[in-house]
This record gives sequence, structure tokens and C-alpha cells, in this order.
Amino acid sequence: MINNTSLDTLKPHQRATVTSLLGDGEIIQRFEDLGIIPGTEIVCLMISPLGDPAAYLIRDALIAIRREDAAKIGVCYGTDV
Amino acid sequence: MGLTYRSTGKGAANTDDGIARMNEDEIIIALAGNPNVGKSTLFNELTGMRQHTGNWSGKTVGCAEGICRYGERELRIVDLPGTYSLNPHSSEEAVARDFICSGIPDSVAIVCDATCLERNLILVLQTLQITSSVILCINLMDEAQKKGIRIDTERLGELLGVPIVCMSARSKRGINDAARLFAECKNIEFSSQPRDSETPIPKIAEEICRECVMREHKKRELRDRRIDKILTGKFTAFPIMFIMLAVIFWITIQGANYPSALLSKGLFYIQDRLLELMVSIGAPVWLTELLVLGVWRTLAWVVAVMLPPMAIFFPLFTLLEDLGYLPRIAFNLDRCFKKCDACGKQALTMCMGFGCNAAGVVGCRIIDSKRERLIAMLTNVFVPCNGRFPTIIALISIFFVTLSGFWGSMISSLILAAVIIFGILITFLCSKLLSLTLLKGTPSSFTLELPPYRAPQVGKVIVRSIFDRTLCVLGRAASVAAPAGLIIWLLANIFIADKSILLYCTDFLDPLGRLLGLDGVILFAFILALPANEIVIPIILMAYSASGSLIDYSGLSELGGLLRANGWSALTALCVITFMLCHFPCSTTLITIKKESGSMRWTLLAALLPTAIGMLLCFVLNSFARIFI
Repeated sequence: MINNTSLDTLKPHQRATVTSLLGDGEIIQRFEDLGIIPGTEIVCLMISPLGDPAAYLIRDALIAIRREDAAKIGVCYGTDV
Repeated sequence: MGLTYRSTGKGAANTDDGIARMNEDEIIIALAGNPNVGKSTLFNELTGMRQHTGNWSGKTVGCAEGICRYGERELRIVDLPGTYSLNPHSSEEAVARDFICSGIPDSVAIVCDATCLERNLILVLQTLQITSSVILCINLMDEAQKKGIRIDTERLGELLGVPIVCMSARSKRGINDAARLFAECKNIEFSSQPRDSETPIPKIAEEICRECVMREHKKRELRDRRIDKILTGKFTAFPIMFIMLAVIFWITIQGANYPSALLSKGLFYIQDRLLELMVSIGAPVWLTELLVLGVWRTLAWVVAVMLPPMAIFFPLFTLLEDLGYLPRIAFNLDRCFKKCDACGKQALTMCMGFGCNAAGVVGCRIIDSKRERLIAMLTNVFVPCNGRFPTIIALISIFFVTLSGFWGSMISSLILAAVIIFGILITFLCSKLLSLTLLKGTPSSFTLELPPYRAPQVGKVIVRSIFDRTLCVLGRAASVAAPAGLIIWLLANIFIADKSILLYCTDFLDPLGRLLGLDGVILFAFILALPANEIVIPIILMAYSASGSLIDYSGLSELGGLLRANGWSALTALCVITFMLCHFPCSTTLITIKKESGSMRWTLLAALLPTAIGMLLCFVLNSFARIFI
């Protein structure tokens, strides 16, 4: 059940906990502003009809993140919603 | 900010006027907060001003300033653009950060969204590291209540060491309490303690919320998820987008028919009376014709044809905006923008472009990457603004729809929707072209917040959008139309060797015009209408009537008759519509692009690129039609 992977692999209604942020670009800074730090719980809620981006519930806010950016967020899976 | 007088006129880009203290007694309050938490709504309620508000992140770009009176006190309120943090990523976030750090405000009021307090507290905690004079305004309390969220504000105030006011700015609750707190801010003891800097701020926010926020049920969220499932569903998202577009246009076309006819009847009745009046006071013929047939008739045409569609389209569009649908459009379309190496938020700026391209260009500030912002600015013109689509509607109804009534307007709206989609496709194509050539680069990272759905306040939307947007946009068009009417009349009536100046111009342009499936008059009208696209058709009318076949405009059918009498075919109309969609932006938009990009070269490109594409399309269309038909 506990698997180290990245956020972009999450399917809708799957829950995960952030383990690490990979890299150090501006986007990582933005993630931290949104409250994404190790330990944060994230639920994937839906994927855009064209397959990218996906929308995640992060600290009660729904945030759309593109696939390659979500790949920079290391997570381990939690229980499904 | 939206389409208020300030944001659509020449002043569209003048938003960063310096803010400084006038006198010692004055209290300056900065309204800060995450995007889309209702800062502008609170600002409007406090100051009685009309900043446009909408349910999406980044609605406010640049600062707005207003005065709020509380008792004897005068408060200066500064509405800052939304920021997630004090580390600026985009230019408008930097505006907010710089103002908070400048030390000018006596107190920083941070507006928080009660439905996602935890995330909002990150900004609060960051601000508290700079200044302790922070007032917390927890907005959207009514929405939180519906979502089953309860907040222990007393405990929250203790933990943060700041005064707290709860409010629902949309329904005007808590506004007065906020004003009172602001007025007293110089006498409040702010008791926030410096925190240990080891713990990351989101962690602190999480801990505070664990103590102060309670959830009872999640009914509301389930509702939002269900709506999202339809509006962003794999098979439903795009059909619904198309239907939504078509329905909005259908209501606009159908609804505008009757008032448009009524208005033109009324205005041309006045024209006749004006003529009689001029004759009775013995005014010279040239003056009568100049004022009545030149100035008044152009004005009347612009008002009769433009006002009804605008007055219907704007409120409808604002309803969608308030609902929270626009960010979903960006979410659905993002993949396409990514393929073009552009930013998904470009969809939002395009939506603003429907109202006014200048406002759309200013709205591009929400795009962080400079390269992607330029792409969005240069291609915004491919979304027909409200100055152009009433003309497109008129041409579609005249040349492509023979039916009248329900089915007629239905077909018109479908054709119009197709034109819009064609414009969107060109936007994609151009964006890709730009990223392959002049604006090379890879798509940058961004995040897009999808707000909860909110039931729009229908009455308020209608009143506001008619008074704030429609009338001011129309006012601008009219102020251009009157002098343009004067100039065109003069051109048509000053003769040099038995040929009017107008005829010299149009004859000169005629060969090029014919090549594009247009004619000299049409091309000349587009050039003269540089200040406002609304007046293209009035100029065409005037030029045609000056050359002999003078009739009074009293309805679309007569307009059609006049155009056909001057050699228009369905192909001409198609070429005009194409050129309407793709040609140089109006002067206001160009000035705005110059201000926003700070470069003459990009401004020039913004004019040349769409014109070149429009000419190419018209040329190809015309040549093909001539070969095959």
C-alpha cells in the first residue's frame, strides 16, 4: 500500500501524502505557497477531458496542476476516497 | 478589475498609480488575501465603488483605491491583487508584496476564505513576519456554514494574536464591523508573537486549523463534484461548452432583434425631426447634412445595432463568470494550450477578450511567464470583442440565414459559434507559430485554482453589467462614432475635380480590396475604424450612400438591400466576417499592448500578424471561390 511514487500517477478519488518536492524551480516555491509540503494530504478529484491537467484537492482548495509539474511532487499512496 | 470605464478605455493599463499618504490623520488600509476570496467585493461594499468582481482567480490586476467613511474617520482602502504568498511569482503579486512591505499601510487587512482557511492562513502567517498590524477578515462565512464548516474565531484570534472580523461580503454582513476595526486600527494592541522559524508555515497553519476549524458534513462539496463531473467530464465537457456558447449567442441574437428595431425606429424618427428643425431655423444645407446625416446617423447606427446585443451578452457572460465556469474552460482546454507551448490561463484572458480586447490584454498579467504572456497578448485579438460581434451577427443574419424567428436566430447563433471556434483555432495556430519562431521556449509551470460554484446574484449582475460595462463601452464607441461620422461626411463631400476625396481613397484601395474578396470601401472603412471597430459598417453605409443610392437605415433587410446593391454577395460577407475576426486590433488595444509589453516592436507585430493572417485567409477564400464557383 505504501509506495513511493509521484503525484501525476494518482487516479481520480485516490488519496496520497506528500513525501518530497523534487527540484527547486519557481513551481516548487508556488507549491509551497499553496501549502504543499511533506506531510500534506492530497486527493486527486478529476482529470481534464483531454487527459491533462488534473485537479487536486489541496488544503480544501481545488488546484489544477499539469502532469509534468505534478511529477515533481513525491507522494506515497493513502487509502482511496 | 474587469470591464469598467477605467479598464476598457485608454487608461486600461494605468493601474499602478503611486499611493502615498496625504496627511497624518489619514488611515490607510491594504486589502490583501489569496485570489478570489472576495477582496474586491469587500472593497466595493466599503467604498461604494464598482470594481468588477467575478468568481475566478486573478480578476483584479493592479491596485484600486477608494475612500471609506466611518463616523468622523476617513479610511483610504487599497484593494491589492490576490497573492498566495509574499514571494512574488507574477507581476501583480509583486505589486501586492511591495505595498505590504512598503510600510505605507497603517494596517493590512487580510481577507480569508472561510471554506479553505488553512491555505489562507499561510499568507496571514507570512504577513505577520513583516508587520504585526494585521486584521483578519474571514469572508464567505455563509458559504462555510452551508458546507458545514464552523470556525472558533475566538481561539483563532488568540492563537494568531490579531483581531478577527467575520463577514459575508456578498450579502453585506459584517461590513460595518470591518469598517469599525479599520477605523480603530491605530489604537488596537496587536499581540502576535514571533514564531519559531524552524516549523514550516503550512505546518503551523495546519496545527492552528486543527484547533479552530470543525467540519460537520460535506454535502456542498459533493454537489460541486457532481457539477464538475458534467462540466469537465470526458464526453460532456466539450459539447456543453459548445452548447453554452451557442445558447448565449442565441439569447443575444433573439433578444436583440426587437429592441434593435425599436431603437433604430426611434433614432431615425429623431433624425427626421432634426432635419425638419434644421430646415425651420434656416441652417445652411451643408451644415444640416453634416450634422444630421453625418454625425447623427453614424451615432444612431452604432447605438441601434450595438446596444441591444451588448446589453444582453454582457449580463449573460457575467453570470457564467460569477458561477465559476471560466476556470473550468481553462481546465478543459489546457492541453491544447500546452501543445502550443502556451499557458492554460490564456483561456481566461480570451474570455475577457469577448468583452474588450484591451481588457483581455491587461488580464494577461495573470500569466506568470513573460513569453507566454506575450503570446496571449498578441493573439487576444482573434477573440471578437463586443465591438465586433454585433457586426458579425448582422452580416450573418443578412447573408446566411433566410429563415426568420426561432430557427433563424438558432442558425445564426450556430454560425456565430462556428466563427468563434474558428477564431479559437487561429489562436492556437498563431500561438504555436509564435512559440516556434519569435517566442521560442518550453511551456512553463503554473497552477490554476478551480473555485467552488457560487449561485450568481442575478439582479445585481444585470444592473451592474448594464450600467458599468455596457453603457461605458457604448459611450466610448459613440464618442468615436460622432467625429468619425463628421470626417467621413467631409471626405465624401469635399470634391477635388469632380471626385470626392473619399472616392480617391476607395478607388486607390479597390484593387487590393477586390483581391481579398472585399472592395475599396470596405478596406477603407476598416482603416478608418481603427479607433473603434463598431463603426466599420456605419462608414461603409455612409460611403455607399454618398455615391448615390441613399436610403435610410431602418432594419437589417434594408441594410442588406443597400449592401447587395453595391455588389455584395455571400462571399463578400464571408470575407468581411473573416477580416473582422482577423485584422489589426483597435487603437485602444494597441496602446494597451504597448503599455503592457513596453515595446514598440511587439505592438507592431500585434497589428501586423492578425492583419497578415486575415489577408491571407481572405485571399485564399476568394481565389478558391472564384475557381470553383
